[in-house]
Amino acid sequence: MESAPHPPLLERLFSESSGDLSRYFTRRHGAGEAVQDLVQETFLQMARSLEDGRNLECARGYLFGIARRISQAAWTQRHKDQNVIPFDPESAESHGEAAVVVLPTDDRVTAARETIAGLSPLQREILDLRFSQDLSYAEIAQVLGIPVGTVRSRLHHAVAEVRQRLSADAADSAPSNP
Amino acid sequence: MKTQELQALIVDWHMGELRPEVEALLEAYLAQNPAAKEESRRIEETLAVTKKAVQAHPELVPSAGTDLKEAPKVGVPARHSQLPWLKIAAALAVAGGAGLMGFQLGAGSAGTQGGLASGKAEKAQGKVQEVRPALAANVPPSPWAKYRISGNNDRQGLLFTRVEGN
Repeated sequence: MESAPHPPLLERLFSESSGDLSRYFTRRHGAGEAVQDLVQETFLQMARSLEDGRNLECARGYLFGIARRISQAAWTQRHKDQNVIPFDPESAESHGEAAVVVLPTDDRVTAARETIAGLSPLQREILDLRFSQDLSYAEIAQVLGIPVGTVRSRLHHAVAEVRQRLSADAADSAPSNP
Repeated sequence: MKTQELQALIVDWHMGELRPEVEALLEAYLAQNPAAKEESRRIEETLAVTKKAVQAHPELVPSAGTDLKEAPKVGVPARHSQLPWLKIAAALAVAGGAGLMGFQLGAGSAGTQGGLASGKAEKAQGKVQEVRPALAANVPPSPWAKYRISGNNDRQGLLFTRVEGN
């Protein structure tokens, strides 16, 4: 049985973004087969939207918007099931990217991590979508359903916070003049 | 150009978010200003460190169930509480000026015209005519004019109400 041909846009999105989507879900739910299921579900919903004739100006942003909703639904389902322990990258040894990534020893990265941990969830989400998924301001705005100006201002504020911390650390570690 | 504006532009530039024409202007500016160029280098460095931290620490990503709505800032309630007083102060200043203007219009006129608006009904005793300040300058003054200032229910500004009496 042959499946219906995919629209060129969907094929292009799959080749360009399936890896990014896998990373997106892995960072939120841990590595495993479930991640591929979530990626497939995302593209399935995307295909339905295209079949409905939806005009997408920002297809990648729309795709990640679907991924975000699916991620939320999966998270909610996980919490409903009392037998499954929610993924916690900080405590997990064998889950996901946290175990794969070699933690940097750079003090500045550690300082940046501490600063970012103190930012609002919205800012941290924006930073992740930007630096991990490489989404543009407009795409992030579409994913989160907020104005582009908000994305820009929150990102600038986050960068300014990190910079302030790095500058303070550099000043502290600089040798004082006699 | 203010420092903050320059920093914001540089961040957007490194993010690839500037329009080409703005990008060209910024690059020309940076080429002519070593201090700005150094600032750009520091911002680029900060962005690189931030990117490393984000990529290396997935635990920083809020869990999917997290409400991303930001709580109001601590300073906001105090600011809100001050705003009505500022509005009142501004309204008082406007009201004082308008009252003086009304007094001068009334005292300086010897005409028999109805003042702010024409029409027989409006000349009746105790008749109230509401006008906007901009209109008041274009009408002949009245010796009996008095003015009352009321609130702005329709959010279009203060109402300057002329009350004609004996």
